[in-house]
Amino acid sequence: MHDTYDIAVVGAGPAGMTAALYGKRAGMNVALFEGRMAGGQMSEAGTIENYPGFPDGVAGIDLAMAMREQVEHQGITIIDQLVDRIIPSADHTDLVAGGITYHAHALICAMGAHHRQLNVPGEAELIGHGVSYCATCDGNFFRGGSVAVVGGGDAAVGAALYLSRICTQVVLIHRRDTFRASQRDIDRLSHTSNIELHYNAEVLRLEETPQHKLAHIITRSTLTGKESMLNVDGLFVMAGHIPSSDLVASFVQCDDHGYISADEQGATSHVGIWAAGDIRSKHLRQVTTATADGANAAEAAAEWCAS
Amino acid sequence: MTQVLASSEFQSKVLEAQGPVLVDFFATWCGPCKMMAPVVDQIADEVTGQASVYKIDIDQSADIASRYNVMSVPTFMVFNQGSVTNSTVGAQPKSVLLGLLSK
Repeated sequence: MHDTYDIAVVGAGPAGMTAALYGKRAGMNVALFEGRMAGGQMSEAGTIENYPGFPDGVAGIDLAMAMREQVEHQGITIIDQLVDRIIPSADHTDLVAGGITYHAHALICAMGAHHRQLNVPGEAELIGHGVSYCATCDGNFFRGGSVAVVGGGDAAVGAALYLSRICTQVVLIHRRDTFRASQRDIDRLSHTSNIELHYNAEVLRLEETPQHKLAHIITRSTLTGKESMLNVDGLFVMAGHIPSSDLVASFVQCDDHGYISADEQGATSHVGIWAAGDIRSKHLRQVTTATADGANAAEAAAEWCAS
Repeated sequence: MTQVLASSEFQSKVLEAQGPVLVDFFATWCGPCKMMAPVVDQIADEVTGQASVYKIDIDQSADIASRYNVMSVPTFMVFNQGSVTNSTVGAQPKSVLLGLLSK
């Protein structure tokens, strides 16, 4: 069975939803493959303070749901299946999802990025039992307890600050001796008394209790090699992201880290395929830059479809 | 809207149910849970007659959440004749949740 569209957008974070809106407004027949969750990482963010138009900030989930509603109101076809395969050719792309083959003239890749796991022993077994990748989702399970956060970027520092308001103690474990987060949040870190900073440390393995809960974290100093044991109730892994480019990496040029190489219009190395949002190789990954990417890519794709 | 069960209803509606039951352990403060809510409602409509779908608010029914070791939301569990036959943690597309029910 074939369902045919002018533009298929894969991924429904801010880039994908904006691309769908712009594609639709350009008169195109658009299908939006929603994947795991509309909103993407935005749905897991706490308060977003740097998206213009919200003087007091906006909850990531509220912004995500508003965008999702706007997409629905425009009559865009939303397909709630994970895409299993993408098969390119010179003038169209086939997408296989849920056993159905969809046919699209242009493809916009907006699959974003997913949480990087630590890949240490015990991690996979303890997901949902003390190991989490979303502080705003799971922080409340550790109310009044102690937690550790691993990472050194905006997400890690933001999670540590968020958790410090819920938990008695937060240990922030970072491999280096400086953080790569916004200065404003770094300043907040130093003013928060219940956050303990463990610099130059990496997680070696996780050990569990007989009840299959996190018992403790074994860390190792990157300077001395000395191992330490940390007793916490929960571990939040905020160790960056990996681009979700697997489906297209064999035919679209990517950078060394797997992000799709594309120009400002989102044009990739393959004709008829554009990239938008966090999946694109670029310097700044924010909701604002994602929506901008989505608009540019949809405009370019619509022009190509019409030509 | 999918019915949110009180702890007192869990035994009769889930554990003693005839067919499979999908339970969405959620929290009112969890973003991904809110995003999943319409998907769960759709599933409830689609499986009417073959399976049941209920939600458990982990704050209101902390006893049930703790009995099943729920430490992340959303957590989805499929119950069949009183025991858990399948479960998954985190937001999922509808097809994956339907797959959990049919396994």
